[in-house]
Amino acid sequence: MKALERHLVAGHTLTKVGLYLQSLSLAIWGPLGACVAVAVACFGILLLTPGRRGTVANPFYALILCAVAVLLVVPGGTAQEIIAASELSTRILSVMLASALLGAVITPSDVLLLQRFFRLPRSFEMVALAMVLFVPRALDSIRSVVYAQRSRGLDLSVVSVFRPSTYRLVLVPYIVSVLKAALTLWVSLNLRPSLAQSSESMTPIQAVILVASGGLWLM
Amino acid sequence: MLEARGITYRYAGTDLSSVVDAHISLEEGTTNLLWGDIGAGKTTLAMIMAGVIPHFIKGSLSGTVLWNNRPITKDIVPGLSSYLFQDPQAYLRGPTIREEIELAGVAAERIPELAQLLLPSTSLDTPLAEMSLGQRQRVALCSALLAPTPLVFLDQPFEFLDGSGVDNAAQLIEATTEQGRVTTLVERYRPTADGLQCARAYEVADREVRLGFPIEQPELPRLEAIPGTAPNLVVEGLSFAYRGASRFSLRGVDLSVAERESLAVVGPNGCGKTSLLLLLCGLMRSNRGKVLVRGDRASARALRRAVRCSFENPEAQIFARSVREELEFGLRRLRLGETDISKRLERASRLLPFELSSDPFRLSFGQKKLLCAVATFIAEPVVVLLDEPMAGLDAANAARVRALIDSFLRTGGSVIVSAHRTSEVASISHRVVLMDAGSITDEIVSEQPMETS
Repeated sequence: MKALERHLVAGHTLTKVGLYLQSLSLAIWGPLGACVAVAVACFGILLLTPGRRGTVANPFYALILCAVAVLLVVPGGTAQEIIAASELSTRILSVMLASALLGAVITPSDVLLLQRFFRLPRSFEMVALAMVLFVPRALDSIRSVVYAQRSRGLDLSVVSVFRPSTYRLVLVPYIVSVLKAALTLWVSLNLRPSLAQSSESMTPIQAVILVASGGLWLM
Repeated sequence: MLEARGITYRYAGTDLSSVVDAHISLEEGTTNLLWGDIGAGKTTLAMIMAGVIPHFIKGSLSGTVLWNNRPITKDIVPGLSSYLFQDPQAYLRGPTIREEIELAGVAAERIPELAQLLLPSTSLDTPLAEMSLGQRQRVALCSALLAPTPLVFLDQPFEFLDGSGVDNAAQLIEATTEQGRVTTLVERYRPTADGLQCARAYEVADREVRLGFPIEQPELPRLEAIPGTAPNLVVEGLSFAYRGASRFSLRGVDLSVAERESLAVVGPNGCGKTSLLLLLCGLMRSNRGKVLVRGDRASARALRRAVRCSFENPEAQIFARSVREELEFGLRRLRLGETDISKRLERASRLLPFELSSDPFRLSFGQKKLLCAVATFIAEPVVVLLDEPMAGLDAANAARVRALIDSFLRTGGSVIVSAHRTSEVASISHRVVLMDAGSITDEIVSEQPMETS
């Protein structure tokens, strides 16, 4: 599995992006069989490379999301509607899995190469790096917060999910740590030599919005 | 030469200047030190000299910083400085060690040799997300020192490193300084790296800067509580592996801690200390082995009640609008009566150097850490676990934490402390067990002289 992982990550940037665009077009416009093949291949690779998968959104979420979409149509839906919903869900699933796979195999070096190759603005690198870097950090933070509160007696199996105080306990420290991390990450990224090639800089507000949108895109 | 002339700086939204009329000059090819207590203004000064302030953090700045007679406070100078923050994770952007170091601009063939120096016996393809904080600090240091910038600023670079990590980092700092760069360390005391030579040391105190030799970290007195013989907590053959991991994080760990005893678990970065703490307070389940509390085998739920943990980062815990509310949270989970809660809050107010009505988010890092420790102790569990309790504390708060441990031990409780250097736990433990690669390898009792690893 490690060999497969290394091979996937070591591939050329343009090969990775090319394969992604091809999967994307098959998933959206191709025959349903090709679309299913894309979904199965991407899901399989993501399952077999857990080390890389850990840095991006879990592919199971995509599967659950699409299953829920179909189940919503089943009660009271005609056979034709259910088939249409299933086809649409499969296509969305393929797009999500192909994107998750791209996120898993793309490295910060690839991001730099793409930026230079396509002469993209610097904010592109910021968003892409935020997606590659920030999501694992945000997940790390939530784990630390939950451990800290459980250690003080918070029992998640007995608290009510309808009480706002339950969310306050976890969300307040989480938001504080994530905001701090976003701002430090932003200063740090701006200072790194490869990013400081131009005198163009970003405002903290832009950075927080970019980092947050990058995180939400993957969440 | 890097020169600061008459620097005075005030953060936006504050009335008081953080640095007043600072003059500094640093020669090329030297390692230098800015040292001072927490909140003295040393990090602010380092950020001004690195160009982080005023370009990325706004405020009111007067005076100028010159790099080879070119002012750097007016315009951003691309690729001038590397700044490694106290939180090493902020610096990292590669998903694996290899990619992170590659991004610093190092030739691919040199990476294994350099990584071997700071990260021996670690695969270059290890994802950073799977590494401990200390291991990540090693990678961040490697990356910051190898980046092709003439100025390097390292804010408390040894904070999370074990003994060998400190020595290896010091070697790498000296090697890069010899290439003509200006390296500046920001520390609270004299750096723990013995062999590291600093050309100049500036003391930052009360917002003013002067040349001055750094002091050693003050030593605290040993614990006064005398350990008993009845064990409060016994661990037998505890083994644990994270899901999907190829090796065990803990392998057959046996240990016991008696009433009124403080035990320190010390080991290098990534040796399994934090995993052990998480298992002992019932937040994770072990694969093999058992934990006994006062002779009875304890389930995860029973452990969560009998064993409480205060974690390394206090900010992961604080959520309330006042210190009182923060302290009350844990007590209410214990379903105590109002009288009992009031008594314990009264006791907490005597232990804390700030009011119970204070906003916890406005406290300093050391004060937040003290608050979290007090919140853990007033729950009066059988055993208290403290993860790196002295990290980031100034002398006054470190003394308060030590006093807190001592008074808890006198009530018959036990304490287990986790740290990466024996020197950090000498004043707060009776016994030290050394851990390596998930196993207990040795034991030091405090009557014997403690060695600094």
